[in-house]
Amino acid sequence: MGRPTVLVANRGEIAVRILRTLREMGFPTVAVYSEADREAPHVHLADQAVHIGPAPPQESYLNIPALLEAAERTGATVIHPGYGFLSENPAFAKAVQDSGRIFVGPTPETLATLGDKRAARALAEQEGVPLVPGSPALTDVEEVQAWAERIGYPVLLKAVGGGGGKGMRKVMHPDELPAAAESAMREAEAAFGDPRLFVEKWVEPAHHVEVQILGLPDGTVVALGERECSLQRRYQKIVEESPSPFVTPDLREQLMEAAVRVARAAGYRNAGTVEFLVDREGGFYFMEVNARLQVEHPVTEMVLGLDLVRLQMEVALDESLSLPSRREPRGHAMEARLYAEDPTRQFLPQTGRLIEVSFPFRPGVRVDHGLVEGMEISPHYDPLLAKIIAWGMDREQARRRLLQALQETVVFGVQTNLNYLQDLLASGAFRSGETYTQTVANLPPAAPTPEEVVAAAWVAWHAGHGQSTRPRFTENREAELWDRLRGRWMP
Amino acid sequence: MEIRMGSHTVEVVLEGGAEEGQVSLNGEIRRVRACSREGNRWVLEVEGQRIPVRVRREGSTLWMQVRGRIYAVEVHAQRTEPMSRRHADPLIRSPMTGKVIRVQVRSGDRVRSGDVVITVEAMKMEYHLEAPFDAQVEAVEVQEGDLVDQDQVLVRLSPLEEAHAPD
Repeated sequence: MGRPTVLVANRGEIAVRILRTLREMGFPTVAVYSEADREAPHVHLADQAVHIGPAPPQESYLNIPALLEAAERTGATVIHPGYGFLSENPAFAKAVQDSGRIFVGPTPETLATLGDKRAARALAEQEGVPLVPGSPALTDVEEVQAWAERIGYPVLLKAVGGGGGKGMRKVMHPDELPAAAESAMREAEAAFGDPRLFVEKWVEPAHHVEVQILGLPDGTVVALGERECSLQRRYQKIVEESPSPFVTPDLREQLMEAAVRVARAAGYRNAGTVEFLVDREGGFYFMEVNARLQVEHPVTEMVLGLDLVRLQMEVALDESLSLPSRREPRGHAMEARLYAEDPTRQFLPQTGRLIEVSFPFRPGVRVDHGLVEGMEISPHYDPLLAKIIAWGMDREQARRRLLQALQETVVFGVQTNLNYLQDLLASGAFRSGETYTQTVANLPPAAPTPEEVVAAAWVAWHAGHGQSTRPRFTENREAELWDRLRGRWMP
Repeated sequence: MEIRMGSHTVEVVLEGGAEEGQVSLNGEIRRVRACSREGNRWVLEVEGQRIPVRVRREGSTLWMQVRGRIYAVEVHAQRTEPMSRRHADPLIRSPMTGKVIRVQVRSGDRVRSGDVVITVEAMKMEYHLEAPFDAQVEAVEVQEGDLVDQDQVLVRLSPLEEAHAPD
């Protein structure tokens, strides 16, 4: 009886990362791709690949019938949804199950409960987990105003229907509220088809700390450490680390315990993350559950010496678990997200053709990406290009290693936030672990130094002989691709 | 010369040859020494600071990694700047041992700065060697299929701007 075939319903770096573990575990694999991703690396790294539609996500990576048909055609009986796209979509999970296949993730019921922010909060409250003081779902501005008065300014308006910063407004002062509420409702309607908002107390300064959980087949839930994700811009994470430099052992215990309680109450199965807001006094408040594998999962893997995708597969197929007996974190890990965006132009997403890509290969450095030279960065998808992760014996070593790795990273052809990431990691605030959710907003991108300008001018002037190179693949294309996509794993 | 790095634009004046010289920026002069150059990788010394630079051309943009930081660089040189003609090498040399796979010009042809004059293949990569300035092709020393050594002269050019020289 051979291994079941697994279809990865995703693209980019996470598809590559998942395929890496599936290959290691001996599963036959299937990749899916849209028109824009015909030449993407993940396509060439699976045993089979199926074209599922035109570039727009709605017609490809979000296209449930196309995905199921791809599974049918290739004999895939297991589907791994990755993150984003359909990973938290109860209808997709159900469709997969109804087709007689295994969905690598929580049950459709759990996804439905936790996907509704109100329901998730109610569950946390029921379990005695503190919540950020907040309102129920509200439909008009007057209600929003009344609740804001009750909770006390400053407040945060959030959309009931979804996240990602859409429909979110911070309101400092009662005067600003009506306009902010109207604008937020319009945005929420446009993004999720649901204009309802809820009001939350704005906790400032705050740390964003999340707990990695894994729901096992027998119903128990284990907590696998925490991550600090406070460096964000417009609610999009940029740098994450584990363990949190701020969290004391006592607080860690409380957070993990609270996370497990909420997850168990939701009948949670497989990997997920419970997010909390932590204030300066160590008070913590439940925010939400991300019922999927998260982008920043590598930092947890590095300090605990485990493979979360492997664990996901083991839980999904009810196989023996590769959980380490020791759950104490070893050393410190940090991740920086490389985005195709221009920090000097309001972080506008960038597109273009990658003419050169090179990542360093160093002790303690891991890079998860799905890039090859010559590929087009499409406007259709998330601008996340790569995750550069570093592990060190302590936080400072991890930080220095990550900074050095960024300084040795080359991406030519598309503007990225690489210089900005270096600025962040070198900043005083970051070095001291003062990573509050407002830190990034206060750091303007640094201008080139005079020496850098002089050096660039010199080279520009004398590079007249212009040697333009076009690398070509050797015969063993697949091996070369794995080599180019190398990610180093730390013990 | 005007140089734009990302969203920063500054005026600089360069003096000197390919090995050594100085650059004036905002009224301050900084000495530059080219310590090494291997293909697209340079190591410069600017007022004693060691600055590695990696460069790749894409049309009119020069993508550069300068001491770890990445910039999309564009330059606009004044026509009257004498430096390039006086000091750029009129001999197009092979960057390494390889094979000539295409000769784009013939003796007597006129080329513009940036035009590819000859293509050499080495280690499975193609090197398109460009004219460093507007020129007339004086002589082509090799033909397609020839094996060549590093630094071997492939094409001889002569600058076309004698008539416009200001001094």
